[in-house]
This record gives sequence, structure tokens and C-alpha cells, in this order.
Amino acid sequence: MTPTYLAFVVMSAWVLAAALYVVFTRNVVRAAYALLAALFGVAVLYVLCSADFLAAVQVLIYVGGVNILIIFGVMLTEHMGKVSFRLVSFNLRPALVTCVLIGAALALGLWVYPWSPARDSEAPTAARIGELFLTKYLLPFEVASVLLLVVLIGAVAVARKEVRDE
Amino acid sequence: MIPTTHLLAVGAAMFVLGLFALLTRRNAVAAFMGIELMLNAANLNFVAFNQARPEALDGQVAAVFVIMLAAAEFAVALALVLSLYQTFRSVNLDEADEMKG
Repeated sequence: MTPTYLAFVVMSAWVLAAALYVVFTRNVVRAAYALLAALFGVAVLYVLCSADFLAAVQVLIYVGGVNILIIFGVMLTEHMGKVSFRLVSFNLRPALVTCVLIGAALALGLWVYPWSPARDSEAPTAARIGELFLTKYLLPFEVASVLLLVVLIGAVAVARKEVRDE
Repeated sequence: MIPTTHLLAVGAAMFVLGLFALLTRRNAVAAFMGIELMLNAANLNFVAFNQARPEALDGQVAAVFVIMLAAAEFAVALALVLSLYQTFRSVNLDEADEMKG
């Protein structure tokens, strides 16, 4: 067992434990912070797969951006001090059946399909990913920037309306 | 080097957990946390597939696009959740069942 594989085992246990906490905790703030732990663990998994640029993007955007947004969402929508941050679950049984079925399907695919073996990848990927963005993936890249602009305006428009209503 | 199937197994487990959160949570923000878990599981699969052709880097580029879309999605989702909260005074998904404009 190589040190890389050992680190992989430890970090996947970390990620799955954090994900379990997100799914089953009763406190929405704790769920948000456990999600932060899970996303950070995924960034470490990216490093172990020698995806260094992706790990940096994961930390910057997910851990630094999306998680802050989630905590904003939690704090702005719970009545502070009046009602607790308690989470209630519903649909437990149908959801369990669905998840077991989909998990079985995924496990079956994992087991049956002849996945091509992994090869060693060289670590500094940022330069080549940047090159791909400006050559092979130029159109998706530009579409993505337009989409981000649309989302920016759309989010402001949706969120502004409710402020004006008050 | 980590075997592809082991990465895919972790991804599958994360995906199922995220799906469970999405289906069972009443709080809209908590349901979105499930979606984030599912997106991360898909990204982990992209990185695992990238290991089959490491010189092409297709999988990692796809994963960057997914991260970008997830950020955009959550910005819209937060605006919608705030709007939902203003309308219904709650973010419980099963209480928002009216469609009056």
C-alpha cells in the first residue's frame, strides 16, 4: 500500500463521514460547516489525483464562495433567536428506496464495466488547462462567461424584487 | 496512483448521500447542500476518468466547467430561496405549494 493510496483511504473516509453528517444532522448550521469539511476533503482527493489546478479552484470557489453563500442563505432565512435551526426530514421511506436502487445501479455499473486502468498523470496542469480553454474549449468558455453575466443580472433582479416589496 | 474504480466508488457513495439529502430535507438550503454533494461526486468521477487519458486533460476541464456552473446555480438558488422566504415566510419546500403570481 503506497502512501498515496493510504492518504486516499483516509481522505475518502473523511469526505464520506462529513457527507453523512450533512445528510443526517438536525442542525442546518452544522450541516453547512460539515459540507465545508466535505468539499475541502474533495479538494485533497483532487490533489491525490494530481489535479492541482482543480484542487485550487475547488478551494477558491466551493470552500470560499459557495459555502459562504450557503451560510448566508441559512442565516438570512432562519428566524434568528425565534425558531431554532432545526432540520426536519420527510419522505424518508420513498427516498430510501430510491437511493438504494440508484446506489445498486451505480455499484453494478462499477462492478460490471471494464474501466480502463488509471495512468500516472504529471502534476502541473494549470498551464495546459489554460491552453485548452483558449483553443479547444474556447466556445464553451465564452458561453460560460455569458452565462455568468446572465446569472449575475438574474440573481440581482430576483433578489431585488423582494426587497422592493417590503 | 489511485485505481479508477475506487475513486468511482467514493463518488457513487457521495452521490447517493447527496440524493438522499435532496429527497428528504424540507429546508430548501439543506436540499441544495445535497445538490452540491451530488455535483462534487460527479466531479470526482470526471477526475477519475481523466486518469485514463491524463495527457488529454478533458476530464479536468469538464470538472472546471461543472464547478463554474455550480457556483452560478447556487447564486440563482440563493436569490430564489430569499424570494421564497419573503413570500411564504418559510423555506420549507412542502409549504411552498401555491403558484399565484
